[in-house]
Amino acid sequence: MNALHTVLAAVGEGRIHGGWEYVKAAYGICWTGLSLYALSLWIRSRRSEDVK
Amino acid sequence: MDARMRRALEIAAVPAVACIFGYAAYVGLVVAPPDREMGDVQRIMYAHVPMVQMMLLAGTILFVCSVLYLFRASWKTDALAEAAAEIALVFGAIGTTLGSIWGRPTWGVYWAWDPRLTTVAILLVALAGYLALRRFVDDPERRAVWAAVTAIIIAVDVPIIYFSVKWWKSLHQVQSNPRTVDPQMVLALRWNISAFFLVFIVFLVVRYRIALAARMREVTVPDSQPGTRQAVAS
Amino acid sequence: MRVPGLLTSTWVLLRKDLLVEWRSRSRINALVFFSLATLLLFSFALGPDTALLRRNAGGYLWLALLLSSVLALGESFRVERENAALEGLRLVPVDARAIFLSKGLANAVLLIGLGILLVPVLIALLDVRLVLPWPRLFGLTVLGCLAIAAPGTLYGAIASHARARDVLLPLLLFPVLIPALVAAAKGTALVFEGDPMEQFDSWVALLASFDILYWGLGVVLFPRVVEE
Repeated sequence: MNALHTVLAAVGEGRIHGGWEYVKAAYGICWTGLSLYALSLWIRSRRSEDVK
Repeated sequence: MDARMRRALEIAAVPAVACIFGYAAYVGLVVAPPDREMGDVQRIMYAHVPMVQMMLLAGTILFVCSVLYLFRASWKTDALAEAAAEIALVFGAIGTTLGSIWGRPTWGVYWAWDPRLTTVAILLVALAGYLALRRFVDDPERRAVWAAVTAIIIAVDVPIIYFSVKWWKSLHQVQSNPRTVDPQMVLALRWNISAFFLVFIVFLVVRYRIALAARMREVTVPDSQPGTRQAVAS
Repeated sequence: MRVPGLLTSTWVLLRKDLLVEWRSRSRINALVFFSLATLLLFSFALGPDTALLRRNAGGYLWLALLLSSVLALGESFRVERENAALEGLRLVPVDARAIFLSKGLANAVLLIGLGILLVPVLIALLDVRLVLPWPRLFGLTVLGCLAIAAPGTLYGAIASHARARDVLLPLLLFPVLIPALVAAAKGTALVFEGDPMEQFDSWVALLASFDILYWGLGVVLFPRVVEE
């Protein structure tokens, strides 16, 4: 059992450990970007309807 | 379907799409397992891949509308082209940034001059040029024709750019065959592609309406008297 | 009045364009000095390691040509615009495709001339040598300049009627020209450095395909661009 644990510990969960900062940065940019664009669309949509 | 019901459905669509998007994010960030090689960084793919796919979809719509416009001029086609171009640029820029962030821990670099990456970068600049052209031409009809011509030239160039850069260098990750990938990852990807697609549709419809309204304002006489000729959104 | 055929129209207009260019030689002189200045700028910004400069000489040549082309193309349509000459021509009625072919060829001729002028300067300044025979370089230059001229003429016509035309033309043109730039620069580098793996012909093939495609597209699309 000890040998198995040692082997598993050596293999690990992936060659890259952690990396959540990258995931957070990526998803943060994605959601922020899409939200900002959605906001821009909403504002322009309102403005477009006001003029009509 | 009467107007009020349609309006209600449209208003309901936004939170519905947001929920689906949220669930897809949950699947990608929590449910899907970490990759054997990339670890948790793999999760960036669940956002990067759909964003770039939506960019390509928008680009295709832009191309089709542009060709269509030259055969049969219609403000609707022109408005859809404008909407598609802007969305392609936004989704493409965000998608490329995501890919860049993914590249740092995996390839070791933020950028590599490989065919796919380089082609997308050039395409983004070209789209910016297209949008600039639209902004700098005042006459609506000329703008529509010239924009259509420009879009066709860009679209035709994309495969050429791709092959020329391929001969120049190559690096990008080979697309995984879903059968060799963990089914939970495939599920996460499919959920996210669907979610991003719904967001894409919502954005496209809204942007299309903004463009069409602007076009109508440009071509109709403001305080029209009865009997004055008005443009029809044919 | 019989409307002249496409080839005749093209030839007549081409002679007119070349004559106009020749008469305003000062414009050509300015263009020549601009391209030389560009080469000098590259040498200063990226030198003085001559080995490095020599290795990148192909790239510098085509960058200089590309930047000069923006000026040349802009000028080419400014002349027409200032006298509403383009509209006058359309009233004749001349086939718009002839206008595209003649303007495009005139622009190409100008760029080829510029290219031929720059090669000896390159040889002197950056200490490059022709390892492959010179006809190959000449052929490559012709194909490359044709590649710049086709979309350049199309976009030149569009940009000349838009606002911010001086910025719009390069912004539209550069992304589209990247494959041609890559092929021309790489091919030129092979001429200067030698071609052990016989890649030169592939680059020529790419350039030639690009030319056929864009001259074809131009002939089809240009009439739509200038129609009222």
